[in-house]
Amino acid sequence: MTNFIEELDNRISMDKEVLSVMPKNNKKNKKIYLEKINEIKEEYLRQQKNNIAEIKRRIKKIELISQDPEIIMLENKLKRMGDINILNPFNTSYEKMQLDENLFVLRRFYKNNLGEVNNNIEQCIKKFQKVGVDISPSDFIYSAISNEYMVVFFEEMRKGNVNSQRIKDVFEDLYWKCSDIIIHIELNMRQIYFLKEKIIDKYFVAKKEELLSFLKLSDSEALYGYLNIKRELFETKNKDTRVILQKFLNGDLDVKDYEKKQIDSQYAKILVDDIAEYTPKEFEEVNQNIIKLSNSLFEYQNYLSFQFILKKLQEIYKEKEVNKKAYQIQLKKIAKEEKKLIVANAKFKRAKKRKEIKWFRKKSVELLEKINLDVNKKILEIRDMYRELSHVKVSSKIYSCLNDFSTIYDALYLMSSFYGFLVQVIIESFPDISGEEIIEKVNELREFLKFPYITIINNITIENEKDVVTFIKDKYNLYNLNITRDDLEETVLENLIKRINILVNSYYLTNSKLDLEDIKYLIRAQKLLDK
Amino acid sequence: MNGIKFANCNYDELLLAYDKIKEMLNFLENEIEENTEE
Repeated sequence: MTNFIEELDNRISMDKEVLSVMPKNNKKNKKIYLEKINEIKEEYLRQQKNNIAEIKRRIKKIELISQDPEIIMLENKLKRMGDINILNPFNTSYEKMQLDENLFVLRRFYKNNLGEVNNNIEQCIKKFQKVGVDISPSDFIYSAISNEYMVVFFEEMRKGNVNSQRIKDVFEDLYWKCSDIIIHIELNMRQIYFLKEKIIDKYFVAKKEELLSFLKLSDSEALYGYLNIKRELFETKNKDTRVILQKFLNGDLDVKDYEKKQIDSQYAKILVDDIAEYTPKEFEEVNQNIIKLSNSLFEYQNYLSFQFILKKLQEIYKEKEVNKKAYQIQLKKIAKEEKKLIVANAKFKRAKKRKEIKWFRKKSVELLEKINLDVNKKILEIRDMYRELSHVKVSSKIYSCLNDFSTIYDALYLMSSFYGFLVQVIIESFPDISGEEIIEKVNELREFLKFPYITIINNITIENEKDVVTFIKDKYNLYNLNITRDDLEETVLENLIKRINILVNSYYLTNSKLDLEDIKYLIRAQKLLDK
Repeated sequence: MNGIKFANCNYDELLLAYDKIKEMLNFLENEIEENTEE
């Protein structure tokens, strides 16, 4: 025990001793006793006040450490670069306007509620407006039912509530007449896109030119520049004391893992030689290699997690002989069937008018029913053709954009560009996956492909997949890091990642403006004062 | 207790002192309660 604490303990014992010998046998003595207690209490209150002031002063001193302004600057720089997606060479305007994401919600309408479906219909309309295509109810020609719904939808949208009671009532009424109404709207949106594709393409060409002239860069330079800024941001954040502190305060990092004993034991596990044998310069080199290993493990873990996508791509890639014009042929087929639909709907309108005339009523009702059935059948045929189109589109891209020398990175990048197809592959592999989990997986893949330290998957070709485990193990064994094949087993990989990340964080903490004691103090002191 | 300089304490001492003083204050409060006649 320190002198200070001993002194305090003695003081407390003495005060208690003084109180214990004081008589309390009558009113007068009790009064004196209470006066003494209050006198002592005043003194302790005064001391506690001083103590709290000092505790707070030190909390403030730590908390005053601010984040490096460079972080915000780099984040803004990335934001200013705009949506880098519009530079993606694999994407058509369809993906660039991200219509596929909304249409996918409509496609799986049975998994969502009406509110979500309506919000997505509204988003589609707004996305069309943004790219210069104003659509109105007259564009919804797939069926009389969907047209009727969209007339009300546009009216309510203008009033600012696409989930109004009126919309719900109309939907309720129309749904019983035709339960495929949302499929009709979804397909109709696709048709509008293809009818207006040239206008939308022009919008994105202009946007791309605008972005590149703002950046004063070419396409490839812009993508390269983006990754460079991302790398700089990563490094600045990793080194930043405030960011490190925040990770402890949020509970992302646990102080217990960073005690010297723990860290030494982690180094002992990973280093081939004894830690004491390294010179400071050598030890710095070791830490730099551990950081590289941490990045490689992150990449490897993602590679494993998205291998099912790669397998699907490889399957398609092997069928390379399929007609390269299949996409255009399929589009023409759809357009032809859609024309038939327009004719059938015109017939429907005429029959509806004739129904008003008493003389034709019976015959018209029969005719209306027949046309309605035909239209619904036709729409379902077109739906299947659109589904096939999505597959053909990605297959054509795979055949035209990839070759035997393309890397796994190229392949995943291509697949990540086609939302609808990607989601389909995810559902095939994880049939019970929820909507939110699908979105999470897609975002994870897209974010991973922007990871600035990718060094493995951009060096392995799709045709000649290397043994990645050996690739990583051998590389880091050469750096005298003790990694075994067993450590890299998928089932235990998480353990290794956790261990290595502790060493990486510990390295950054050691080089920061704080030490573990400061952080431990801050956490304890804040808890204490919160009580 | 005159002359306690909390500024000279390390983190542990500061927080331990807080607990000890708080405990003493609780003790004193209890004593006041027990010995105050209603």
